[in-house]
This record gives sequence, structure tokens and C-alpha cells, in this order.
Amino acid sequence: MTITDRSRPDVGSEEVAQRLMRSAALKSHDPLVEIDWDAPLDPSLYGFSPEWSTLYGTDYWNELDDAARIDLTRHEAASIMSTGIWFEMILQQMMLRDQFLGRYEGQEFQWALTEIADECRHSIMFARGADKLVGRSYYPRKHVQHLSRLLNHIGNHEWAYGSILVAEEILDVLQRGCMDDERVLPLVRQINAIHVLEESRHMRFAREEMRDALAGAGRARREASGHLIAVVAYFIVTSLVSPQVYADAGLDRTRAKHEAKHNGHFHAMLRTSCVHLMEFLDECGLLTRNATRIYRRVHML
Amino acid sequence: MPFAITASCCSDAQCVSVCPVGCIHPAPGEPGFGTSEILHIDPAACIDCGACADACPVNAIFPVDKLAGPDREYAEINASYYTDHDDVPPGRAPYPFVPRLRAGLRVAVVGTGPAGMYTVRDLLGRTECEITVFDALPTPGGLLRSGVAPDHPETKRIQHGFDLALRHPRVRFVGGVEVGRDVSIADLEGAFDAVFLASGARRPRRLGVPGEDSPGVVPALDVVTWAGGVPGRDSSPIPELGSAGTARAVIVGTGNVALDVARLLTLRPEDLGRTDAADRALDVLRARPIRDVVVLGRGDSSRAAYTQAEFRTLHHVPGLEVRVVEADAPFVDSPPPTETRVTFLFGSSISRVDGDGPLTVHLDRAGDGTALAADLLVTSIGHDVEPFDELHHDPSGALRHDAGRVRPGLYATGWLKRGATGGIGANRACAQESVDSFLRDATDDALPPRAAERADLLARLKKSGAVVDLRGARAIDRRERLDGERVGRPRVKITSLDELLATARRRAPRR
Repeated sequence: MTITDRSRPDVGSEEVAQRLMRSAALKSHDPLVEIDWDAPLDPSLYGFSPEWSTLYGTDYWNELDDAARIDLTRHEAASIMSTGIWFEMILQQMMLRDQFLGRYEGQEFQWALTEIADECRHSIMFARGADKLVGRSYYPRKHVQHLSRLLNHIGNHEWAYGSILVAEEILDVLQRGCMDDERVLPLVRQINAIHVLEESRHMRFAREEMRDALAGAGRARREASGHLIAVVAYFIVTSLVSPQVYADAGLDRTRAKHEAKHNGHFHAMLRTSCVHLMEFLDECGLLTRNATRIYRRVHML
Repeated sequence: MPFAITASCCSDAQCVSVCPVGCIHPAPGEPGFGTSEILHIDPAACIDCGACADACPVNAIFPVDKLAGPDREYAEINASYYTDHDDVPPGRAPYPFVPRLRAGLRVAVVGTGPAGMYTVRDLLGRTECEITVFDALPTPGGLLRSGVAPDHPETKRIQHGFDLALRHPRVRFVGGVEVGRDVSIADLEGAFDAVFLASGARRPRRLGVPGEDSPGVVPALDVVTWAGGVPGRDSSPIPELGSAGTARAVIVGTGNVALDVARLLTLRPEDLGRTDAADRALDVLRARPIRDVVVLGRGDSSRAAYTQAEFRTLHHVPGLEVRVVEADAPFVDSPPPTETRVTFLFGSSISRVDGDGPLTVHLDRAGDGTALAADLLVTSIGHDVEPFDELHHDPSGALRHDAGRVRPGLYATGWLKRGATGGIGANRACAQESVDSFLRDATDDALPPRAAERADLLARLKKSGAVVDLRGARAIDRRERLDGERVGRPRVKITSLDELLATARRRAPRR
């Protein structure tokens, strides 16, 4: 039909930033005051939906009793939150660099700082959450830590925002199901709900920044960026649950690590949840052959 | 300012899965999902994050302050869903059933329309199976390619996600292979651990009145596939009557397909010329042989089968006058329209069709008889499944199955399974149900053992016929889009089978 008058989406970072600012004013959270940090943890409740445990569905899982499973998921949740902090701090640094001496009166600048502020609060929230759950936090392997320092300093444009998007999408898929799962600790459910809600705005912004950065980009650039973003995704996924988690949960670390690595259930959960991310990357021309190979290795595709 | 879902919503609920606050309803599992025409965003709960708009496969979602033209009414339509329903449950979708399967499973899917492709996506997500997808045509897409109206290009965007699935390393596309003609179901069951049939329902229902076999009486599917570019349908369904003609078409049936045909016949040539309608149809319709369309519905307007969204769309077609004659109102055959007109004549049923050249369509209305002169009579009263010799069907053609399982190892999905009802999105949950049945059989060790090698079967097919692989299909797609770009159209469809095959073979050099 001829529609000379067409509906259109927001286009460009200024329009998107403006809407997101309004959205943030409409509904934002302060986890420090909204979450009851002093409430005791019900011992019968999980740290995460069991279906999202890296061991769910394996022989090892089937041998564990409920208490062991609960303990495992609490440690896994703490590890995922720790990975969240690590990544959010990279994100903050990349965005601060991007906006340093930027257009202060622009919506993009003001939104970017809003996002950085969100991430600060999320990091504190995760830090407290991990502490309350298991009394410790987790870190990625040393060489990954060094690589991430590099990303801090040189991540730019679609590489930066692509990495941000991938990290946030992965965390989002893990946390989303737990939000309404009555078997999960209310503390974790609240943390996840706040994160999923505020993160949705960050992801919208990251997508628009990527579209902007890639407009008119040639094949060589898409190949390079596609590959780099996939590499970042690889390190995030493989850092989510530190092997130390299994030891801390009282399990045989070697056996748990092995069974988790070959756990088809976890792979399927990741794959089904990453469909939209993969479609978006494809839309941007970033799902190159090299990138596809990497995403398959970490079971995002 | 919230977002709103507009007319081209396909109801497959991908938006629901990305919404951080659960403000889109009816969601899968809720009452009304599957029957509601579109999904709706709750303006009171929407936080404006735009995740739904990004995830929507048909670009149906926009911020309310960016709605324009015919979409503006959707702000109210979305909002009023929530004032009309106060029982919207927040619920959580259960986690998918993902059992442990043995390695090396091989699955065949027959049909690459939405039914087949949602099945492929579900299998890719929940299993590690290798999937071989067959289609009778060299081009994937099924009715998404050939059946969606040319003036609804947004709906076709969902093909992008399906194309991505076809490109997955675990998926192999085999085009130009028709089950029944080139390969039997038994052959497939022998070479694969499981077979999903998603071949649709394309036997048009008959009116059952005298005269319905005259030339000039055609099923809607013929008109749709002629304009949709399906190879082998070159001849125009519109009789060429010249000055002896009435410039009128009568359409029996009030579903969305009937409205699609009505618009196809009455769109301005310059508007139709900007779509992906096949050139062979554009050549005929350019002369505007039909200007007056009468759509017949048996009951009154409250029982019309079209969706409100599609009915509204009709009112926005430039130059088209829309008239509704209620079941109890008299019908006066008025003078020809200024430009084009569609008249809904409710309370009418056909008793017989006479004539050669212009037809005389005899109607029963409120106990009286009327007759309409028309060049063309299009029947749009639904479809039945074309039965497979090898399977058990009911007399109507319906396939016998249990939650998609025909027998262990053989499953059905889409219109073949449910009958020809439901839009694109309905196939998503349908595919999940059939895949669930397969997964249960696989874990219960109920799948029959493979008797033959997939490689041998595929080699045999390649040797005997005109098989097209994904590279060939993509070469066709690229050529069609490039040809379209040159003339400001989304694509120019290749409708000759020979040319399709030649394009597929002449593919672009490897990168």
C-alpha cells in the first residue's frame, strides 16, 4: 500500500539517547536502598534457576542432593555476578573514554553518563550480592585479565559497543528466567530484575551505536570487527563460571569442569537464548565466517 | 511515551521474550494467545526501552510518538486491550525441554515456509542434530515468499531470521526436491532419524455449486501464486474480455486472503509496480482489467473472517472506495466506481454460476435471489491438505497425528498438522509441540533405526534432478534483489524454472 506517511523508529544516537533518558526518569532503581540486604537467606532456595546451572542435566548433577545443588548454584551466581562487575568496569572505562571532552549538551553524552552511573550501582549491587551469597567473588584467568586491560584502553566504536552488547545479552539471558522463578532466592531475583530492566536500555543504546558506527563500513572492517567482537564473547562466556566455583561448592573440581564443558543442556540454553543477538549481529554484517566459528565454539550459535 | 504494536504483527511472540517488564500480551500460554489478531503493549507498564522493536521480525513496533498514517490508531488499540482485559497474568514461560540425546542424530525437514523454518530453529536451539531441509522449489520461503501480499513487504522481513537459520553450519538446504514426486516419505524415514513434514495445505476448497468449473472461476491460491511468482503459473487467471467485460470480480469468502486478492486487483499500477509482485501479473494488472470487487460473506459482518487490522488497511488504499452491505440490507447494483471499489456483500451465498465470457453469479440473499455479472469469480474459502499416498488422512485430508507425531520418527508441523488456519506466528508454538514429541521419542529410544545413508539418498537426488543447494538459492536471491534495486523495487522475481536453475548454477565466485 502507498504510505507516504510512514511510522518510523528512533534513528541515531541522539534520538535514542533522548528516549532512554526519559525512560530512566520513568523507572530506575537504587539497589542500595531497595534491596533488603540484611534479610536472611532461605536455605531451601537456589542461587539461580537449576536449569541454568552449568551442571544441570549431567551425570554429576543427578548424583547431587538438593543441598549440594543449592550450594553450587549460589556459587555460580556469585561467579556470574563477579564476571558482571569485571565487564561493567571495562564498559565504564570505554564509555568514559568515548565521552571525554564530548558534546556536553547532547543527549548522547548525558545518556552515556547515565549508563555509566547505572553500571556503577550494578557493580556495587553484584559485589554485595556475591558477598552475601557465598562470602567471596571470582575473577577471570590471569591472561584474560591482561587482555581485558588492553580492551579498556583501545576498545572503540562498534568493537566497544559490540563487546558491551554481547556481554549484556549474555548476562541478560542468564538472569531473565530467574527473575520470576520461585525456587530462587528473593535477593537474587531482585538483583536480576533490576539488572535486566536497566540493562535493556543499555542494550538499546549499544545497538544504535553499532548501527551508527557501521553505517557505510566496508567488508574489511566488518570482518575485523566481527572477529574481534566474537573473540570478546569467547572470553566472556568462558569466564562466566570460574572452575574455583566447583571446589568452593565442595565438588570434584576436575570432574565438574569436564562435565560442565560437555554439558549439552547448558549449551542448548545458551544457544536458544542468543538467537536475537545473532540475528542482530547478522543484520550488522558482523556474523562472518570467523565469527560464526567462534560463536559455535562457545555455543552461542 | 510507550511503544505500540501495529498491523503487521505476526504474533510469534519474539518481542515477549525480550521485554524486561513483561508488558506484552497476550503472551504464549495466556488465554487469547493464538486467537488474538495482534499482540499489545501495555502503555502503563512499558518502560520505553525499545527491545521489542529491535527484536520484532516484521518491524511492526514503533514508539507511539513516531506512529504515522494508518498506524496511528494502534496507540489506542494497544491501550484498550488492557482496559478490556483485567485478568492479564504475569506468568513465566517454563524452561524448554532439553533432554540429553545421543550424538549424530540426523533430521529431515520437508518445507521451508514458516512451519518448517520454526522447526529448524527449534531443533538448532534445543539439539545438536544435523538438519537437512527439503523444498519442492529452488527458492526457500514457502508461502512467506509467494503467498504474502506484495503490498505487505514488512511481513516478509521475517525471512531474514529464517535465512540465517538456513546458513547455520548444521543445516543443509536441498531445493528442487518434492516429496511424493522425487523422493518418498519411506525413503526419508530410512535415511534420517526423524522426518518433519511441513509441506502445508494447498488443495483449495470447492464451492460445491454448479458451474464452478467454468473458466473464469479460480481459487484464490491461483491468483496469489500467479502474482507471487511461483514457477509454472504464467497464465493470467483474469479472463481477457475486452469491451465485453464487466471490469468486476466477485470473491467468495471474507478472510484475509480474500482481502489480499481484492487489493491486488484494485491497487494503482504505480503502487503495485513498486512491490515484488511478479512481472507477469504487473503486465496484466497495469491495464486495470478489474475495478469493481464484490466480496461475498455468508453470515453478517460480525462473522467476517478477516482481521480488523486487514479490514482497516483496506480503507487506506488510495482511490479505493469501501462499501459494506449488511446481511439484512438490500443490495442495489450501483454504477461503476469512480476509480475502484470493494463492496462487502454480507448474508450472501452462491447458488450457481453460469456463462462463458462474463459470468453470471447467482446469489441467495435473505431468501431472495440476485445475480451479479462478473468477469472473474475467485473462491477464497480455505484449503485442505493434499493427502500423501503413504499416510493416513481423514476424508477431508486432515492428517492423523498426536501432538504432531504421526508415528515415531515422523512428525508434522504447520498447516499440514493443524489445517489451514493461523498466521505466520502460530507456527512457532506448533513447531515446538512437534519437536517436543520428537524429543520424547528420542529419549524413550522409540525412534526407528536408520536403514540407509543420507549421503546416498542425496547423491541419488542430485543425479536424477534439478537440485539446488543454498549457494544456488542465495545466488537467485542476490540476482532478484539486484534486479530490483535497479528499478526501485524490493526484488524482481524470476518465475521461469529454467532461469532459476541457471541462475543457481551460475553462482557468484567464492569470496
